[in-house]
Amino acid sequence: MSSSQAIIKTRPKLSSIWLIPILALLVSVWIVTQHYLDRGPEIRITFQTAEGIEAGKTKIKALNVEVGIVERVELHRDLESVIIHARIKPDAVNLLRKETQFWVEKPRIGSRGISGLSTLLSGAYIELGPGEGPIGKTEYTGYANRPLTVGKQKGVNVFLLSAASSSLSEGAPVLYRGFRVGQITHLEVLSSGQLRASAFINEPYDRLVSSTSRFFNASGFSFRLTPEGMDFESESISSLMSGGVAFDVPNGINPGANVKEGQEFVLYDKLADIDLHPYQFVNEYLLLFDASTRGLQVGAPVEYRGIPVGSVAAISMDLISDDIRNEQDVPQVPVLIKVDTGRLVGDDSIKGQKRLQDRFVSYVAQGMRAALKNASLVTGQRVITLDFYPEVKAGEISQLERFTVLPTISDDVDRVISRVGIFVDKLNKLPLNETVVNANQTINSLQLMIEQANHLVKSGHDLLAQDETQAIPTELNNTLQQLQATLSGLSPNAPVYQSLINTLDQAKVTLQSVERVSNALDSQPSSILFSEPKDPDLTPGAHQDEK
Amino acid sequence: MLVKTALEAGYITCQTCGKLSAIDVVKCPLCYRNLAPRQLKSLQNTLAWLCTAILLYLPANFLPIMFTQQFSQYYSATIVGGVIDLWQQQAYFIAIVIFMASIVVPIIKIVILLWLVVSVKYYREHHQKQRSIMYRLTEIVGRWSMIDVFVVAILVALFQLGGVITIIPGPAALAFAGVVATTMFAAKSFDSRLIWDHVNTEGKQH
Ligand SMILES: [Zn+2]
Repeated sequence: MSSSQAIIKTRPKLSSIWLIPILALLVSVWIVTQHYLDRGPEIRITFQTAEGIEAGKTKIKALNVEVGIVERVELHRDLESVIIHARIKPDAVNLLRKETQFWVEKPRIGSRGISGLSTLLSGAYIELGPGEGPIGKTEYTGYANRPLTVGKQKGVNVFLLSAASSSLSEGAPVLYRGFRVGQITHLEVLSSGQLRASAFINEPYDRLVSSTSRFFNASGFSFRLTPEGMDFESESISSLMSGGVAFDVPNGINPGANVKEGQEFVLYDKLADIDLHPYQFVNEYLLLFDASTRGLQVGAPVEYRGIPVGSVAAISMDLISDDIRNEQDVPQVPVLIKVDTGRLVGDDSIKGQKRLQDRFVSYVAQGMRAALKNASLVTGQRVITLDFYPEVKAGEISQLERFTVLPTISDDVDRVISRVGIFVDKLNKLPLNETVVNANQTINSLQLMIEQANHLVKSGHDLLAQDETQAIPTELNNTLQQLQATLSGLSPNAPVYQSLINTLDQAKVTLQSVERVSNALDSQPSSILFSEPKDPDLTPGAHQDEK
Repeated sequence: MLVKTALEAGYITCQTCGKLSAIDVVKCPLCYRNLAPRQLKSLQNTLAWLCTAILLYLPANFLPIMFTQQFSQYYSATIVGGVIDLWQQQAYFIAIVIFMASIVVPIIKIVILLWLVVSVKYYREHHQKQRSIMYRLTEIVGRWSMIDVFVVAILVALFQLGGVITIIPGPAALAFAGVVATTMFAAKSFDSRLIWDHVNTEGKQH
C-alpha cells in the first residue's frame, strides 16, 4: 500500500470553477431584478372585442413608435367586453394621461382615404393617442376605431339635430364652402327619435361657426335647369360619396356670436330648406279647424298680424289618433304650423322657444286666435293668421297628445265681418244725401198740399154750417145740384183741373230750383258771386257737412 | 467479480490516448498530457458546471429563442412555444426532434451527470455497471443537444430578407448555447476513471 501512501494529499480546496455558476447566478439575479425594475406599468384597456389582438404579439404604438405590448387578453366578467393587459415601456409612462385614448388600428377605407394599410400585412396594433391630464391612469376604455378627435386636437364640438340621417356616417366631413373644416364624430338616436350628430370643427375654422350658422346636409347633389343652362350643385365629390354636412350663414341674417362648445343646431335636409325656414328653432302648434281647409297647402305662410312668422307643416287627419270634435260635435281638421321663434321673439334658441310659448299663452288669454283666411280670392289660396279678436272670451293653450293646441276662431265670423264691411262701403258710395234731401222736399210739398186740401174742406164745412144753408133746405138741393155741376167741372177730365195740376207742377219746379240755389248757397256762399263748379258731387266736404 | 483498476495495479491511465504509464510518470510519453492518478477536483468541477447549466436552462426556456420580423411585425417564440406551434402545424417529426434535442436531452444529461457525481461520491462500491452505461449515454445524447442552436443559426442565416421576413436570435439562444457548453464542460471535467474505483480514493487521501 506504499504506492497509495504516495498520493495522500490534503483535502482539495474549493474549485475555482465554482465562480462560474456564482457568476451566472449573479448575472441572472441582476437581469431579473433589472427586468422587474425597468418594466413599465401595466395598464388595462377595455375593448368591445379583441379582434386582431393577440397576447404577447400585439404592440401598442404611439405615432408608429412601439411603446408597449399586449401581455394578456381576458374576458370581462360581464362577458360583453374584453380586458387587455398591456405593458407600457418605462420611457412612455408620461403618455399615460387622463385623456389618453386607445384604439385598434386596422386597415380602413373612409372619406379621408385609406388608412392603416401597413396593418394589412403586420396585423392590427393598438394605437395610443396622446391626451392631456395628469399622469398615472391605468384603466382605459378603448375604441374600436380611430377616434375622430384625438386628444390634443383643438376645436369645437357642436350637435346637429335632424329628423333623419339620410346618409351621414361617422367620419363624414363638415364643409365650409367646399373646404373640409371638421368631421362628424358621433351619431346617436335620441329618445325623442331625433338623430343627433356630433360634429367637430377643427381649430382655425371654429371661428367660422356662429350662433346663426345653419348646417345642412351636403351629401346630395342637385341638377337644375336654368335659363343659363344646366346647373349642377354639390358641396364636394367626397361628400357625395361619404355624406357630409356643410354650414353657412344664410343671407339676411347677421353672423351671431362665436359658437360655444356643445351648441345645438338644426340640420337642414338641403340648402334650399334654409331659405324656407331661416330660423332653426321653431315651435309647432296644432290648430283644429271646424270648417274645410280647402285651399290651404303645406308650406302656406302663417302670419302674425300680417307679418309672416312661419308656415304650415302638415294638414292631415293622421296627426292625431282620435277623431276630434268641437262643442257642436263637428269633426275638426288638424293643421300643424311651425312658428319661427327667431322671427317673433328675436331669440333663435331653445330659450327663445320657451319665450315664444310664454308669449303665446298670454296672447291667447288676451284673445289671440288662429284663423284661416283667403290670401287670394282669385286662386283661392289660404293662409293662417294669428290675430286678436277682442270680442272672444279668454282662451288658453291646451295640450293634445304631443301637440300644443292654439285655439282657432271660426272662419264664418270673419267672412260675415268682411261682408258687412263691403256692404257698408257700398252704402257709403251711394248718393244717399241727395236722395234724402229730395225726399224731404217732396214730403214737404205734399204736406203743403194736404193742408190746402184741409183748408178747402173746412171752408166747405163752414159753408154748410151757415143758418141760411140750414134754413133753406129746399134750396139745398138746387145748390147741391149746382155744386155737383161745379164739382164735375173740377173732375180730372175738366180743363180747370188740368190747368191746376199744371200750375202745381210749375210751382214744384220753381220750388226745386229755389231749393237748389239755397243748397248751393249753403255749401258755397261764394257761388252767388262766382259760377258753380261743374261737378258739384265731387265737392270735398259736401257730405260731411250734411252729416 | 472484483477487477483491479489501473491505479490499484500501480499504473496511471492517460485520459487522452489511454496509454498506461507507471505511477510516478508525470507526462504521458505518447501524447505529453500531464498524468494524474485521479482528477482531484473532478466531482466539484462537474457539479459547478452542472449548476451553471441548470441556471442557464431557465432563461433558455423562458426567454424567446428567436424573433421573427415579418412585414414589420415582430413575433417572438420560446423553445416550448415553437415546439407547440410546430405540433399544431402538424410538423410532428420536427416538433419531436426539437423537443427531444432541446428539452429532453439537456435534462437527461444534467440528471445523469448529477447522478454520476452523487453515485461516485457516496456509493462508490455499487452501481459500477449502471455508471458505465449512463456515462456512455451522456456521450451519445450530448452531441444532439446542440441541434436547437444550429436550427436557430441556420434560420437566422436563411431568413434575412429585409422587410419581408427576418429572423433574429433571441436571448434564449445564447443561454441555450451556454447550457450545451456547460453540460459539455461538466461531462469533460468528470473523471471517468472514478466510475470504476472500488474504494473511495478521495476518502483515502485524507
Ligand atoms: Zn497519452
